[in-house]
Amino acid sequence: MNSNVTSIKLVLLGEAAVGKSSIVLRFVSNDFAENKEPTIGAAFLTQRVNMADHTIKFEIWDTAGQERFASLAPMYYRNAQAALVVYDVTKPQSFIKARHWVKELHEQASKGIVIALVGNKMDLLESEEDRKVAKEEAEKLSQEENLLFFETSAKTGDNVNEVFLAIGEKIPLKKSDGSNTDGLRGTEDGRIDLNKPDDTSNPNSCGC
Amino acid sequence: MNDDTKEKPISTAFEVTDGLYAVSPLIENVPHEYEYSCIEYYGQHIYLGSTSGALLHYYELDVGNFTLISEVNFNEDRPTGIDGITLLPKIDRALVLSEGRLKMFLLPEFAPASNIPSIMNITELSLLEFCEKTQCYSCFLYTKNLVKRVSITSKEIKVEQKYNIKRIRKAIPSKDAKLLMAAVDNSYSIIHLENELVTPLFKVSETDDEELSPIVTNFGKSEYIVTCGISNDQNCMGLILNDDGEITHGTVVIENYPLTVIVDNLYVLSELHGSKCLQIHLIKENNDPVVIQNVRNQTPFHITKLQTPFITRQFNKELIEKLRYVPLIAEELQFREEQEKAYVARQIAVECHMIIYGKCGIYSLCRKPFLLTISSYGEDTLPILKSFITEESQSNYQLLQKSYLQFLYVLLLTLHMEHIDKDLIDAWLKYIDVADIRVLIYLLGFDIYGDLWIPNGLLAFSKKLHSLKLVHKCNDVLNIIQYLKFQLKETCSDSLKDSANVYLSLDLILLRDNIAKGSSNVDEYEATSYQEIAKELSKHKKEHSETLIAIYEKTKEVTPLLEILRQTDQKRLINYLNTHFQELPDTYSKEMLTDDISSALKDYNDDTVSDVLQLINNLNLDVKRLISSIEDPDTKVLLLEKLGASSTQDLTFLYEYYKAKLTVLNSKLIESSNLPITEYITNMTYNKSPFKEYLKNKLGEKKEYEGCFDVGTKLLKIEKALNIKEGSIIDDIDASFVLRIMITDISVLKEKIGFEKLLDIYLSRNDFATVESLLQANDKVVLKVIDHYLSLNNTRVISQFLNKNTCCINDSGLLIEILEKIPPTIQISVLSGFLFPLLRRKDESTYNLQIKKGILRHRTQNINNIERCLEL
Repeated sequence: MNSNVTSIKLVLLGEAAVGKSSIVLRFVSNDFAENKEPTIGAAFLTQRVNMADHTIKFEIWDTAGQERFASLAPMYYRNAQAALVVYDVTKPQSFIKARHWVKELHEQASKGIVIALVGNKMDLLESEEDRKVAKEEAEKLSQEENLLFFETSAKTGDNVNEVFLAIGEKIPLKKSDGSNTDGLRGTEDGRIDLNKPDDTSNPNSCGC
Repeated sequence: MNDDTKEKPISTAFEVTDGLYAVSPLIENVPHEYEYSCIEYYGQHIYLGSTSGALLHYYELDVGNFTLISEVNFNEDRPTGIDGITLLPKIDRALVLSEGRLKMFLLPEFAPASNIPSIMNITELSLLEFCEKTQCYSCFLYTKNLVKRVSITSKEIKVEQKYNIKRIRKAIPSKDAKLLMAAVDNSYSIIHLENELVTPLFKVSETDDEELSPIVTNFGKSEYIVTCGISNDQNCMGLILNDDGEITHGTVVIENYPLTVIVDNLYVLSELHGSKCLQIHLIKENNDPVVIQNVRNQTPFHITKLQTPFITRQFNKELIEKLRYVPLIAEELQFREEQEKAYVARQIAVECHMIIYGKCGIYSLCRKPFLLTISSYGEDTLPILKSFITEESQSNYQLLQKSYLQFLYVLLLTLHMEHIDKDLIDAWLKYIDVADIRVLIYLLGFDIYGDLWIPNGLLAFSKKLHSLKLVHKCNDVLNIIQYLKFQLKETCSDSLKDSANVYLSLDLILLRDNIAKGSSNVDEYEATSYQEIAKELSKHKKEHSETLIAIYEKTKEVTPLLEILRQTDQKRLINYLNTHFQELPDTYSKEMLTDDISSALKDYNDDTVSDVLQLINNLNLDVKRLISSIEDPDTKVLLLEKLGASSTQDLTFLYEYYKAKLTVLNSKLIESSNLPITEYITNMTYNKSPFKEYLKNKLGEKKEYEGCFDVGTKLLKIEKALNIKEGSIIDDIDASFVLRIMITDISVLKEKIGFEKLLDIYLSRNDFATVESLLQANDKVVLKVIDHYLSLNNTRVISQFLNKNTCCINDSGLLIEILEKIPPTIQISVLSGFLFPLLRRKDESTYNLQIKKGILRHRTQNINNIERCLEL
């Protein structure tokens, strides 16, 4: 067990029913549940990831996407070091909402917050016609807003771990004395252990 | 009592789903005419407030029997609902809030305190700390426009400080009382009192359509739970915040907007809108808060968390059954069981913090003690137990419960660890004070010494574990046992309970292994274990006699030591008696000594006899008495022979003994020596050895011969000592004189039986050599011998006899007689060796005589000549 543990407060934002809780469930429990009940308020979960000689403890706030709870969002992204703004690749409206969240985060959240734009439900794309949010469009937004970008499927697990790994790599890690350094990120040769039994992730892949 | 209550019967039956919390009645019948709004429990007193201003005071006359002892109205003028009762127990006062008016009451009588004016326009209050020095409580009083910090003594309520903060509807101060988590208007806010800064967080009601009552409750020491929602009927959120206003846990989704929220450790209890249901959530890390239990009643009821807990006996029966110690391996004693139950009952003090109340009555709502909730012996129980057993315990009950759980923890570890190894031993040793290490030994299937008691709740589980043959999880059980013993001695040598039996249990395991290996080193075991070890070794006394002796020498147990020496090594026994004669116990009697000496001498050698004699000397024994007390004749004779028999009695005993023995030996000897005698007699070799020598050569290796020789010799000595001159036993038993020839010197025998008889005996045996030795210059004897030899018809015998004994025949007459006896069948040449010397000697003699005659004649002539000369 690594003794150097860095906690990262991470918040998931996005329109209702885009799969935020499913992404978290896949990441934390490597599981998927159909017809998941909508989140009320927010759920809180943690997951540890070993990266090189360091352990990152993700403290994940999975917020409710319903408009009713929008006023609570600032409570959750306050002091967050990372955020996943999730949209459904088959629902253009959710991408609009994602843009809104990215803007709000840039305006209201902590400076230096690492934001990952995540297009979920890739498993629903049987043909290109099913896609309603163009990848290029999302990539363009990511470049403009300096976001990480991934297209994922919580159902199959595709790219889910990679999102968190990329965030872990991008966030400066704490030294044992508490100071931050960029030098402790996992190198290309460094082992990255997601501590998961059926880890299928490729630590070198990048969705950007 | 109004008509409504008559029409609708009050349901006192709570529907409680399976779970941790249990409802138990305190007072089932309360006046039905009131709606109750608050309650407090103080010692044996329960104070109840109603929405119509009635204040009821119950007192617990007997255990569990509450009686209404007073009923007063808060306000005599008009009915005003009681909003809260706050106890100030250190000053025997209480504050009662009713529709903005705060009044002080006396405790425990619960009567208004006179001369202390009520304070008006109070919306809420928060009790802070009590100062022992000033004997006053600090308290925040909230009004519409101010927050007042007041100090409350038994005599007055004094405003200490005012904060200009308005419209607080509900508030909870932080631990340091520097900030408030409050509901201001429709928002939850953090209020920094020092700078009177109000930081809004979020709304109580998410819509403006419906106003919801704010709820702020402490969650742990520095967190709060607040509720927000849309309406009373829809589900709402319980949000847990810290002092910085940050949400720290996932949302607690409550079925509808609650009237009250109470936090009990990690459980959130919500009195749902309508007051007919209590919903209990568990807050668990990495899981959404989930409802674990519901408590329902058709009659509305409220829940409150008491300022100070009371002791409930609700779970005593179950707890006693679990916690009382019962024998795992020991005699079950009824009185001990009763004692145990009584002891545990005295220790149990389950605190109850919550009460539910209403028209249905007053009930305790108590979380089951943790140990009663354990239903799984699976591996997943281990981390739960571990977190519990590391908590600090203060009361005896907590210690008792913790001990039980620690015991269970090591049992579960034993079950679930892949191997029973040193790590497991270390775990057991960590809890050695509560978990008797012998239970582990028992689980491994070994024998246990001493009484082994365990909590009754763990009895069945322990027996089950025992049946699982867990010893197979040990790669090297002996190594484990040795490690355990070493660690016990290193780490808990002083504090180990019943250490003698613990070590004994371990020692016996080691011992049995050593026995199997054929080795046993006494120093390996505890001195306290020696007795049992000796008992065990006694089953294999022969193989382990040395170890046993070593143990008895260490324990200075002389009696069993003597016993084992007696059974294994008589010589060593005598030797030990000699070296330890001063340490012999009183129980070692003279009779035992006599027996030991007898036994030792039965199979004796010279050293043994020497040791016995030394022992007799060391112990200064009365020899006569000793000898007389010895029953075994052989031993007695041996001692008499060694010590010397002086009395006639002893001599007679010896005489009789030898007589009997000699008779037996002789008859055996005769049986076995028949053939050699005939062989000797028929052997006509003149130069053969004498009969006595022949017998010795032929029979010398036979014990009968030795015995006869030895016993006969002794017998003769005794006969001599007893002066028995006639009728010797030898005469009776030795008709053939073989024995006497054997054992008796020929001169003695000659003296006893006479020459004639003796000669006859030897002649009859054809003992030529001995006969020759008996020859005397006696013509008769010679002639007798010659007659006998001639009768043998053996020329060689007669010729050799005559040749060798020529010297005995000096007389001519004898010679003539001999020559006449010699039959003509014997040739003269055969006798030349005999005759030639005789004849030569005869010739020489004649010649010598003639010379002598001449000399004499010459002498005579000379004398005559001399005479003639003289005459002339």
